[in-house]
Amino acid sequence: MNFYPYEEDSLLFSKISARNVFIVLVILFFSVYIGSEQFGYFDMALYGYLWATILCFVLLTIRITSWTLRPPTRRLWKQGIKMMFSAKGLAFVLKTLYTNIGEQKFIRKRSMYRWAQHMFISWGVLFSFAITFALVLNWLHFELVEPKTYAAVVFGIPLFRMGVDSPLAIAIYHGLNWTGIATIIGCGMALYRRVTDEKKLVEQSKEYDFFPLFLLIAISITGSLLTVSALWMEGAFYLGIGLAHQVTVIIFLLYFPFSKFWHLPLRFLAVMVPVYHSMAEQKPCARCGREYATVTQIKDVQLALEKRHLSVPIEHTNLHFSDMCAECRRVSHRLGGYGAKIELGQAHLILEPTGRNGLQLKKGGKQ
Amino acid sequence: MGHAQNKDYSQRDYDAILRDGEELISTHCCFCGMQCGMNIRVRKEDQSVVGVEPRYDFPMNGGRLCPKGVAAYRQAEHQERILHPLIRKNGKLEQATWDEAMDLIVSKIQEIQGKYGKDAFGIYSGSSMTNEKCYLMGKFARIGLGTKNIDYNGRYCMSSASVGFNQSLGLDRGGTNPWSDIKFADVLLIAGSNTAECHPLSMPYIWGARDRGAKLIVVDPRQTKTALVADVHLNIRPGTDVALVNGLLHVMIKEDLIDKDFITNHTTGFEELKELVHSYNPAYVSEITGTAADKIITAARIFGQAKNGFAMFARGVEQHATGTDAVSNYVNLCLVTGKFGRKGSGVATFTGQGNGQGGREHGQKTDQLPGFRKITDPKAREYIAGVWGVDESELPGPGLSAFEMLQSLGKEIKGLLLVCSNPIVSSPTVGDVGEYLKSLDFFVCMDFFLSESAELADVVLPSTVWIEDNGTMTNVEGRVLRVKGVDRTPGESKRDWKVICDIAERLGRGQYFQFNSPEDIFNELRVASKGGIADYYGITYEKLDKMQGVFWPCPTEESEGMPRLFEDLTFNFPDGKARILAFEYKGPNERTSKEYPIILTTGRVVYHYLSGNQTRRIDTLRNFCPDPYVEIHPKLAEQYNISNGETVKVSSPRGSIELVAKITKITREDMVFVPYHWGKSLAINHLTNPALEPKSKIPEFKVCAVKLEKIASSAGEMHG
Amino acid sequence: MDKVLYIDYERCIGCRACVIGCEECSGHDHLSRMFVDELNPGETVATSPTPCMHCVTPACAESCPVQAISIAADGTVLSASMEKCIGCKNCTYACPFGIPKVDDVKKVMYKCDMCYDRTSKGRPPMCASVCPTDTIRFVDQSDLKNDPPKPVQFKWDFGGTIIETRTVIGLPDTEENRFGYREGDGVQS
Repeated sequence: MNFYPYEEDSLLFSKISARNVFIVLVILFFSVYIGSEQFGYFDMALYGYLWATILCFVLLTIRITSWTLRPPTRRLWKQGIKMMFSAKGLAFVLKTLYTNIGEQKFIRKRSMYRWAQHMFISWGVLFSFAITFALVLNWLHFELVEPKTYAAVVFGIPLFRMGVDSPLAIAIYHGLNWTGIATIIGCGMALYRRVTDEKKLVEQSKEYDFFPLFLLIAISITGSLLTVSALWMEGAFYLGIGLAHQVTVIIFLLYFPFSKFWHLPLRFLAVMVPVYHSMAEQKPCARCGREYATVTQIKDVQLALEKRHLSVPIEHTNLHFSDMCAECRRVSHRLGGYGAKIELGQAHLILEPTGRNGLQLKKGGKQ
Repeated sequence: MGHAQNKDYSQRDYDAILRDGEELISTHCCFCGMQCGMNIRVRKEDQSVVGVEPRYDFPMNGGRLCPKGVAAYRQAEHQERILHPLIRKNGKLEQATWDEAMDLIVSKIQEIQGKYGKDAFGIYSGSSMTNEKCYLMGKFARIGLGTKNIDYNGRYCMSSASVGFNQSLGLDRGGTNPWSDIKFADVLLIAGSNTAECHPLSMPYIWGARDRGAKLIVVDPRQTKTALVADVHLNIRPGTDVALVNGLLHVMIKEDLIDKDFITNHTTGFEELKELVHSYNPAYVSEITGTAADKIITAARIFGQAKNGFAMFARGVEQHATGTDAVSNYVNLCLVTGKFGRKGSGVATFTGQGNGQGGREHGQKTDQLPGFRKITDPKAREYIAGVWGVDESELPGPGLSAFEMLQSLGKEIKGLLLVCSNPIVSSPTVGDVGEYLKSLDFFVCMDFFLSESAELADVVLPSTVWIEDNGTMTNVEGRVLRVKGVDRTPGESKRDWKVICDIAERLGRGQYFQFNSPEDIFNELRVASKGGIADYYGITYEKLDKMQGVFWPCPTEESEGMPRLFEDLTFNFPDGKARILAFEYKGPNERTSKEYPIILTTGRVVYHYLSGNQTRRIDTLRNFCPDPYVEIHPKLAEQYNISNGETVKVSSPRGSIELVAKITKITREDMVFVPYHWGKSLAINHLTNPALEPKSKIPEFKVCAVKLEKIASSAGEMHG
Repeated sequence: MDKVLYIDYERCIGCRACVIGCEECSGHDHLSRMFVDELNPGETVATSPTPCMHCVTPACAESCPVQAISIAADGTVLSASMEKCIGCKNCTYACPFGIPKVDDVKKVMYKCDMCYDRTSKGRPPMCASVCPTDTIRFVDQSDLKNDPPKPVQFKWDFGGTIIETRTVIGLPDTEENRFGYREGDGVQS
């Protein structure tokens, strides 16, 4: 895999990364500062998690910076964000956010089983993230305000109160247990599919696929065992289990930006795609005239390729191969191979082979 | 590795992939006479058919397959398969039990035969079945039912080639040579065959020859995929083959490009030919055929000068009112130039049906008994009666040929058993054929899909698809090979040979049909064919597996068959000499007229097989070619103001259909082309001419006169 | 042992056995990644198959905003990873040869992977296995590129951008114009 930045100016990448990391660290610092009420409430048991979380944020920032510096990524983000400024665009994006990430409809279209499995894992993991980060970074904590009443304090502001034994309190204490169970179910389904499904997709090599599942299961099981130990075993093995849990979580946090889990941030870019495809002018193929893309996207792709010195122009014209639909691209190469003329009906040009396996304007081929 | 006979074929050095939990059934494709080898992937757990895996080691195709071959397995798990017997009740086909169906069939047979005589019950059979089944159908007709009226759909397919070969060479084997011999030819003359689409797996052999420098001459009215890569493309007007070949012979004789020694020593009749073709000079032939005189001369020179060469042809030559003349005339090309009996020299017809060769050898043809014996030959009758254990007098004589049989339904023939065929799509004047079938007192059909013909039946019996049975097939070369299957019969379906044996049992003729396996039947077939022309006596299942097929004749257990015929240049006549026969050009039965000014010719597309009952149901194949169309040359289209994609009405004196126009320069200006794989309102056979070839009784599918009319409104939805 | 696809397209009969065969590869989920195109319908029946050209520097991968397209150790350009692909279609436009396809409903890109399931076991891809006319062949890369049987294409110069492909295209014999499509001819009587 290519984790390297896309721009040739690698210094640019370092500079921007440093800047972004700095910004993220400052924001983190202040959020912890405020959340812990000037470091007043600090759960020292979560100290190890805190540093791992901070490191995870730093790594993630660098990874995202490298990613968004790549011209195609940058273009797509920009286009998406630009479109969100219109009410229609924003509504579209929000709707896609729900169908893509909320109900994950596209996975349901791939397979129902896969969808159920992925819903368990993704929501299990996302809620675990939310709870873990909130607690570790002290964005949220509970204060005993009366002998039998807790107050939930978010960023230093007491939000609500609840009885120590109230069902709500129990649901919240065990939040991570519920998400853990969901994750275990999902991972179990995923493992079962990997073992029974004979289809060997080359895109999913085994090490890439099994390790993350085992990691998630390890985190979820050690986490749940903590509860088991506390509730039913009078705290037996608590320290050992706690240490194991901490180790697995820290591995996960550091592994996250460079692993299969990296697709999570990518899904947010996916939300931009439908609006990107539908809210721009359609482009007809230069040869057959069939609409096959949007004008914007073809321009974006050509720009991205140019930055990579991979432009594929049709010589002596201002067209690129991407100005033709996929079928016309395939056919044009073959007609060129026959030495036949290639009529671009829509662009009113006639092409011929260059003799170097490319295509060019035929002499007098402008109509 | 492999038997010496397979040395020059196109097998490849790879093993098939066997996946976990699966087994591979090594068998052959059910579509077309090439009989390409393939492995069927079967899931062990439930015996379900899950896919196809190339059989790289089979000589004929080396794992290669055409789209029909790749998709063939998809019939097995198809949801439209008939899984229960159906009986017509109150005008509708309804699910019934086997006992009900069999009781009804037997009582109807007895009733009809009791009332109108034995011959009033006919059998219309097919040639895509194994040799075992084809043999059984013939035997069942003669001594199960005791009817003379059995014929088969090969009548529409292979019969002209058969008669032509017999009258010229004294023997009919589709290919006189193993297919690998094609690679060693210096010239290939392919006539009336769109080999690339109808027998795609012959193309590696044709390219094999070309890669060695061979020239390719293609005779076809259209610039097909085959003609596109020809050195000379003789795009003759449909139905003018006899004249064209006379022209080629004229040039070769005039320019002394003939083999006089061969003619003198191994043929008779050359002088008559020479005299007859004298008037067929290139200019005259050019006028008849509508192809340029210089191309005729070039083709004649290429063919005449080549040391080795093949004349190969298919339905484009054969399905004519003078089809047998044309076949023998093409054979003449090889006879006068001495292209016989060597690697790289011979004649061949591209067998269309899966078992087009085997199906015409073992007695389901009305004039024939097993082993290519004539039913009128007293010795043959004596022998076969002996094999079957009946008295010679019990054997009926020859009955009606396929189309004549259809025409006599409701009149002479009151009951019909239809097996492995769909005549209401494949016959000429299909509208009338529907009426014939409806006029029957009783009509029973065996099939695994409810074909257009089956829809009209009183009883439909569910049979199995080809990979659910065992047996042998005989391919285009005359190679007998083993078809293997999965041991399963989905739903209540039964293998058709078992059903036939059951009916015989219920008719009280069971003692003649005590077969427990296809191999039992084959062993009887071996004895029945012994001493005949197509002699299978020395062929065993074991030998077929070991040698990857055996070429007949194989008369003894020691024999390894005869891949190449006539190596000693002795032809199958008492004097050992081939017959050079001379034919005057007569032209097609129906000529164009003022009212019907355009020639219609029909043919196939690569995605479909015959009446399309199988291939039209396979999604992928149907999607690539969902509906028929009419190919029109731009100049002709201009006359009628027709643009591409518009709907056109094509009519002949017999009927009309509406089709989408495909404007293309590949066709001639004086003709249109329509593929024939569709039924009902999409059947081009509403228009085709039922004129029969006098000797082979093949209908003239390839030429009739039509007119075109542009239809203003669009045709709407059409789905075949 | 390094074998690549060789396309000798003047032999193509347009039967699409390769297209259907492609569905039969275990890793392909019954989605065909092969193309057969009519070159000039109405003028000729000439057709050509196109599998992925497996570029050394694939434009599809370079244009992917989520880096979902990777290259296997043997140089095979793979389909986009299922979890990364966002279905944006950049790859389908960037590819100069018109190969990648995106399933709009499942939101996933798929393309020829040379039947990794087969080639990893030393067997030819399905298209080369079934092609009835040997238009598509699976042959030794160095033999083919160093000593081609006829003029071939595997280095493409697009206005200075050089793209090298693992797949090799055999050019029709246009010198003698013996085989295949002849421009403007139609059928001469």
